[in-house]
Amino acid sequence: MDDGSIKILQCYSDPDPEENFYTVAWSYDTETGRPILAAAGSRGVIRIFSLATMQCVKHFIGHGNAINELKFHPRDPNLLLSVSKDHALRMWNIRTDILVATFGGVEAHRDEVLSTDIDVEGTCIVSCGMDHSLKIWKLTTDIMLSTINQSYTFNPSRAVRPFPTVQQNFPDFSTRDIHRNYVDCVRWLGRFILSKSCENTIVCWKPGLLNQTELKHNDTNVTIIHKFDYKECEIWFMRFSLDYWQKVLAVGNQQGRTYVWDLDISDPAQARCSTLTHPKCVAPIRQTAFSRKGNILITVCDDATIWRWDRVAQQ
Amino acid sequence: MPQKKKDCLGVDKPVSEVQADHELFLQAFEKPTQIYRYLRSRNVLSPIFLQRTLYYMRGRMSRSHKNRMSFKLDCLLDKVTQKSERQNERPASYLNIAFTGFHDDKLEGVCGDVARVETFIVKMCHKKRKESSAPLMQVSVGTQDVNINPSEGEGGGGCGRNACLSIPTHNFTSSNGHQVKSYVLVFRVSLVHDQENAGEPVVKRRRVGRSASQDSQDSNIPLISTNAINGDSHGGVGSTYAGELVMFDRHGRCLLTPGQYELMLELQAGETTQLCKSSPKKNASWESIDTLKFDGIFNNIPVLKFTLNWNSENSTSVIERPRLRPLKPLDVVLANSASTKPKPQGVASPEAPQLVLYQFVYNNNSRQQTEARRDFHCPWCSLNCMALYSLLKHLKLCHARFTFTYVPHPKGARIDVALNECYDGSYAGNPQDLVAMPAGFAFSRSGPTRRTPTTSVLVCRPKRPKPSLSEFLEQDDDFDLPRSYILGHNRLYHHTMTCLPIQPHELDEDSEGEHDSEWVRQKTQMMIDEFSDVNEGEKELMKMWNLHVMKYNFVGDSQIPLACSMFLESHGTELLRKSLYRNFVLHMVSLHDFGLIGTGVVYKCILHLQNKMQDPSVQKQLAASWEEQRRSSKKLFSSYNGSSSSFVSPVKQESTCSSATSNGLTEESKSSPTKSK
Repeated sequence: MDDGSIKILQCYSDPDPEENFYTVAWSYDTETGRPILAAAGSRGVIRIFSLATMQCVKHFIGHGNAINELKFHPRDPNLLLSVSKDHALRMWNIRTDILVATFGGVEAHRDEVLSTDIDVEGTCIVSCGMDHSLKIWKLTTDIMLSTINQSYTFNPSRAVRPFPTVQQNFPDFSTRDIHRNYVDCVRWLGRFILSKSCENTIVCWKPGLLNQTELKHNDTNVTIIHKFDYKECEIWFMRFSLDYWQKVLAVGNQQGRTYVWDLDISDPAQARCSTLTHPKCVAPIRQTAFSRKGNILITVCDDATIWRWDRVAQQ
Repeated sequence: MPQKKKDCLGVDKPVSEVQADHELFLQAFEKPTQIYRYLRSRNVLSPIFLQRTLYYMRGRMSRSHKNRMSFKLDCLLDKVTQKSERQNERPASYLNIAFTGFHDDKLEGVCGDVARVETFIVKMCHKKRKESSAPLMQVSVGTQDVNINPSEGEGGGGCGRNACLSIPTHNFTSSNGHQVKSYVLVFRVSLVHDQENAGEPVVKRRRVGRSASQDSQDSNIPLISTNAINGDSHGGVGSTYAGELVMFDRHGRCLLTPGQYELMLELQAGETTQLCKSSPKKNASWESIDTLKFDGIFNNIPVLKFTLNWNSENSTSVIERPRLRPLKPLDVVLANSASTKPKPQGVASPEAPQLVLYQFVYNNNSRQQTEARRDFHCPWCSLNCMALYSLLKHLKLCHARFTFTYVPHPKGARIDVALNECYDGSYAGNPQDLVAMPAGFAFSRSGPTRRTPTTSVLVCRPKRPKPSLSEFLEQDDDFDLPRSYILGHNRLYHHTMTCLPIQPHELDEDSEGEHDSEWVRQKTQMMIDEFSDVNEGEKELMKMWNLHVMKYNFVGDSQIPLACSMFLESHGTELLRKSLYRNFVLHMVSLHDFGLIGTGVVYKCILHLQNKMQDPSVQKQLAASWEEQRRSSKKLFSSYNGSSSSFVSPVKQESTCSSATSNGLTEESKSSPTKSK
C-alpha cells in the first residue's frame, strides 16, 4: 500500500489440508484481460485462480510428484511452465488445457528439478536441479513452434488420437560444472545465467566460450563471468530474484539478512552489495520479490513473516 | 431424530469423560443422519426410484394384476368416452364477462360508437420432449360489441344493455391429452366505425403478453405498468387493440377473482404481422403501489372495462372456481397418509404394528435408547415400511452408513444401530466425471459428449432366499453385500508418458506402444557419433542399419537375411550415393562371420547391390566421388612416400567402386570421408 503497510486482499485455501503451496506465478486471461494466478505445490496439482471471480477455474494434473516452480512465458500468457520433483518439466497451454511438451527423459534431469526461468524473448528455458546440472532447452525449434501452434487449434472431441505432446528428451545444452551441490535457483540475465546452490555464491555464467553465440549440444565449455558472494546460506531451497528491469538482485540468507546488489553497472567487479537487516528478522528468508518499479522489496521468512523494504532515494 | 430418552450407561466414569464421549457419539452419528435427511427431502421432490417396486416393499404396492386377465384393448375407447360424458353431465358453470366499455382518450370524438371485442381462449401446454416449442391453441369464444367511451352511469355492474359473454368452464378444464400449463383469455378490440376496415383481425400468436388486471376490491397486487402506445402510432380507425388475462398461475390456482376489471390494451399495428415494436424490457417497469397514481396511469392508455364472475347461468350463486390440477403440498407427501390395501401374502405384508426400539451403539457401548414406536416408519426418511422385514431391509440397504442388528424382543423388536466402519463412500459413477475440466463439465447438459462405455445393470432378478428375519441377527453380511453392478471399463486409465487421463474418445486407439520411439532413434545416433575409433563412413552405416532394424523390429537370427534384403531395397541407392559400398560389404562379412547369414545370402546381396550400380545416374555419382578420392589420396600418398619408408597400414576406409567390368579395387592409404560434400 502507498502508506508503507501491507494489506491482505484475497486468501485461498485448498480443500486438501495436506497441500503445501511452493510456488505461484502471475498471468492474465488473454480473452478478458483479467489477472489470473497459478499456484502449485506438494500435491503436484496446478491450480489456476481467477481473481475477479475469486474461484479456482482450472486445475492441471499429470505431474508425478510435487511441483517446485511455475513460470509463465513472457510473450504468450497462456503457456505455463512447471517444474517438478518427478525430474521433468512440463509446458501447458492453459487456455486450451493441453499439455504441449514435457522436458524429461534419457538426457534430462536425473533428480528433482528445482527451478527454471524463461528468457525475456521467450526463446530458451533454463532449468536446474538436485543433480547439480543446469540445462538449456530451446523453444524455437520447428517441432516446438508447430506444437505450440497446434495446441491452440486442437479439438479433443474431434480428434482420433490424443494430442501429440512433444517428448523432449535432449536439452540443447547441459553442464554440471558450475556448482557442486543442488542448484536451487536460476534466472536469465540477458544472455547470461545467474544460478545459485547452497555454497554462498550466486554465479553469473554463460554456456560455451566467451565469444561463442550458438548453443552446442555436447559443449563442455562454460565461462564464468562473475560470482556474487554472501554469507550463511547453506541450506537449500532459498531463492533469489531480480527486479523487472534486471538492475537489482536480492537474496536472503538463513539468518534473516538480505543481500542486495546493484547490477546496473558496466564492470561486474564493481557490483556493490548492501545488506538489509532487522533485529526481529532472524528466520531463513526463502524468497524475495521486487515490485514492478523496483523500489519495493518483499522478503518472506520461515516464521511466516513478510518484510517490506522500500528503496529510499539517495541524496 | 427419534426422541432421545435416557443414557443407559451405568458405569462409574468421571462425568467430564462421559460428557466428552457423549459428544463424540453425537458427532459421529450426526453426519450420516444429516446426509439421510437431505436425501429424504431430495427424494420427495425428485425421486430416483419408487419404493413400491422394490421386492421387499410389497406392502406398499396397492395395485394388483388381477385385471390383466380380463383386459381387452377395445374397452379403452369406452373408458375415455365415459369419462368425458361424466364431465359434460355436471351442471354447467360459466365464466361470465359483462363488458362495460372500451375507453380510449385518443378517441374523443367517437364517443358513443361501437367497437367489436373478440375473445379468445389460448391454451398453453407444456412442451413435450420432442417438440421444438410449447404448443399453443387458440379458440374464439365470442364476439361482442361494446360502447366506446361510455359515460359514467351508463351500464355499470350488471348485464343491462351491455354485451355479455358466457364461457362454459369445461373449456378450462379439459386437457385432451396435453399437460396444460395455463389458459389465457385474449381480448381483441377492433374499431368498426369504418366499414371497410372492420375485417377480422388476423389471428396472430403473440410473443409478448403484457396485461394488467386490476381488481378494484383488492389492491395488493403489484402492477406492471406498460407504455403501450408507441410513439408514432395513434389510435384511429381500423386499428386493433389487444390485451391478455392469464387465468391460472404456476401452481394451478385461478387468478380471476370476481370483480370489476380494467384491462389495458395495446395497439396492434393493423393487419401487418409486426408485433411489438419496442422490446418489453424497455417499456416495462416496476412501480410500487404507494407511488402509483391510478388516475394518471390509465389516462392515456386504451382500456377495456368489464365485470367478471363465475356463475351457473340464471342463478346468482357463485360456485367454486375451477382448478387446473390438484395441489400437492410437501406435507401431504411426507405424511405418507396414502392408504394402501393390505396384501395377504408374504413376509413383507403389513403387519399389526409392533413395538420397535432403537438402540444406538457407539464404541461397543450402548449410548442411547429411543422411545418405543408402534409403527414401522424409518426414523431417517419417514418411510412407512409396513412390515418389520421391510423396515430392516430398508434400513440395511438404504442407510448403509449404519449397521443394524435385530434382536427379538418379547413385545416386538429391538434394533441396534452402529456406525458402519467398512462403508465405502467413494464416488460410484464414471470416474471420468471427477477429472473432467472445467470442473462440473461432465454433469452439464450442454450437448452430446462422448463417454466411456460402461454397462450398468438396470433390472436384476437373482434368486433370492426366502425373506426371514434371521438374516439381521448377526452383524456380518456375507451374501448380501451390495454388489456393484457396473461392468466393463469403469476405471480411469492414464497415458504412459504424460500421466493424463485417457479421454473417452481416445480409447479407440492404443497410443502407448513404445515401438520405435523418436527419442530412442535420436539417442542411438548420438551414441554412435560419440565413437572415437570409428570413421565417419562406418558410423553412417551403423546408424542406417540400426534404424532399419529398430523400425522393423527383427528379433530372430532367422530374420537377418530378410533384414539384409529389405535394407538394400529401401536404402540401397542411398548407400551408393554415400559411397558406403565397401562398408556394406564389410558388414555382410561380419554377419557371416558370426554365423547369422550364409554365404549364399552374402553373394546375393552383393550381386543385388552391384546391379544397382548399373544405373547410369548412380554411376555418374560414383565416378565423380571416386575421382575425388583418388586425387586427394594421391596427394597424401606422394607426401608420405617422401618422408618415411614404412608403409602405413591402411586403416578402414571406404572407397568407390567402378563399374563391374573393372577389376580390383584401389586401396587408399588414408581414410577420408567420401560422403561429405
